[in-house]
Amino acid sequence: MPASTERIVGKSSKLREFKLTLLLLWKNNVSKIGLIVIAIFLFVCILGPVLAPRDPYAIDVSLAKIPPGARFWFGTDLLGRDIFSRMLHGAIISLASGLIIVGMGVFIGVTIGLISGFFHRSIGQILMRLPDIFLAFPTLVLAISLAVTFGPSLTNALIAMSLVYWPPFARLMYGETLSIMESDYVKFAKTLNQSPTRIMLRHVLPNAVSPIIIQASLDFGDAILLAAVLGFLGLGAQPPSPEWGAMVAQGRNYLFDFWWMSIIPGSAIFLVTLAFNFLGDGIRDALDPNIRRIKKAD
Amino acid sequence: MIRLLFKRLMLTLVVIWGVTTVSFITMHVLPRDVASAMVGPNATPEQLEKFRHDWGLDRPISEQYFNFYSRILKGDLGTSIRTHRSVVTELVDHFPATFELALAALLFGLIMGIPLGVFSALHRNKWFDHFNRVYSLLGVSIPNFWLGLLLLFFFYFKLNVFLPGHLSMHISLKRITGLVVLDSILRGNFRAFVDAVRHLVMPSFAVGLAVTGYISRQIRTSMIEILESDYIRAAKSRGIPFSVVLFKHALKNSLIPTVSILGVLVGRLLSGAIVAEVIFAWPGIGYVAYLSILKADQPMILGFTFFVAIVYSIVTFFVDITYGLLNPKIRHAMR
Repeated sequence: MPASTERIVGKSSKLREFKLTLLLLWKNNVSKIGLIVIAIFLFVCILGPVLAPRDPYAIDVSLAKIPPGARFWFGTDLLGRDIFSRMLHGAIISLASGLIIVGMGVFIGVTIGLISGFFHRSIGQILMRLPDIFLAFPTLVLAISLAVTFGPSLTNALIAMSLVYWPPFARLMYGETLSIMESDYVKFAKTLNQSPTRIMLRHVLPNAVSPIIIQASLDFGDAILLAAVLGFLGLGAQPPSPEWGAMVAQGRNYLFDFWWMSIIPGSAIFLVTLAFNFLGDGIRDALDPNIRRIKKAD
Repeated sequence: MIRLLFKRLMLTLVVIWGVTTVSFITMHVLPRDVASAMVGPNATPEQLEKFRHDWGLDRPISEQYFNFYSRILKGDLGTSIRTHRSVVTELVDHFPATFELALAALLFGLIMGIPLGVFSALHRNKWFDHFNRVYSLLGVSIPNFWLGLLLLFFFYFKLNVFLPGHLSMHISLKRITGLVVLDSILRGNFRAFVDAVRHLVMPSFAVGLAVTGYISRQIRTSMIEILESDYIRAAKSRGIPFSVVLFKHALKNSLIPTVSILGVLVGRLLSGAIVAEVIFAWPGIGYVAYLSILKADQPMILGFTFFVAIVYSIVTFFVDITYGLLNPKIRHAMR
């Protein structure tokens, strides 16, 4: 078969596989709910600041502590700021945190895993001890420690979380690289004396992309939750930022008198994390070869 | 076996070396004035100078690295800025409370998770299985600080059944182990026992909910695999009652892979405990860490991180060894 035909066949079958995955996700009630909630969340992230009825930072003490109602849907906080508007503005912080943490985690992890796997007899042996060391800390504990060292701010918290997020990706990429290195096309490329960089970027990396993307999508909900926890502990976004975790922390001392100040922003974190985990669960199922085979036969 | 043990021990030592080095780097090499961070923002130049001298910060970096190790080997992690007590003393004082909470949460997770997993496996793809799947996903998605606030609102503020904190002020209980539920039993103090349990329920639920999900999913997966295996079919065909097959053959074997996720669970338990301790004012190391975050008490935070990493490494070491001993395949391979 000429190379060009092979590429076309390969692409169309890949497209078909992708369509099947989407279909399976939509057929699964759990992941369907996840997809719908995520769609709403993305909508809020993009249009939230436009839709917000009030200025999220406008302080008006005469409007303070108003419970949820027709005028203020989610009530107001201690300084009279509209919680609904604040949450619409804060949505993008959660989304961006998730994207940055997972994105940086993938970038660092893939780089280290790829180099370690390619030079697995020499430098890789040493480099792959790094994830072992990082995984010796529970993620949250290491993130707290780094964030404290860097000083509390959203940027520093994001750096800290990215630094704790890469080890699983490095391990995954290392394993993938090792198995791809055994394939005939990489051996062939080696006999052609192609440079290591070229082999890594042109042959190994593209073939390891899908397991990495899958893992990243499974971790997304977890990353958003971690960011919210750091925000809650006062290590992430600082006041007056409308970050959801920080809003819960600000309201928590007034829980018994003004429950809405902490409970409502917290429920948004819960819903978004749940939606991403619902979707992740559906993705895991949709890629299960047993389920795929049954559906293909239909 | 001994070779494997040795190898595993060496890895643990490498990890501990790495952990201490990471601590050293974050403390000394980052482009940040450690002395002013440690002494506090209101320090006078003389205080800063004294601090640098006391901690040997005016020495070459290699000498500092060596001194750092000799301190750690002597069990000296510095002094807390917030309380002016030794970091090690603080950690040792507060660790039992965290241990108690983590243990209660793990027990809760096992008691809830195992039956859920078994039933899900037996009724695969039926409504109970779907319910359990959603329940597990809820468990791992719920921010436990938020869950904690909800619990506080309903069970403490509205109903007043469960209480935040560790033990009520009016109850006196002399410390034996530091685990108040255990101490009250050992002392035969029934009132203290009831009080301790009322305090323990909410935080252990808040931490244990996520753990339940992990355990039930793991049990379900391994149970399904085992129920379809030949030896279960053989046992059934020999006319052994299903309950015996289920509990004696299937459940016992499906617990083995669960041991292997214990390491991950301990990480989750510790992380969860930190947040739950903050919400419920539970006086464990997580609560101490939180108070230290607020005061930028860096030696305490580093000591806390180091301590948790050591505990976590030791636990995963024993989990791996136990797994090796329990799993016949690995056990035979080691001979």
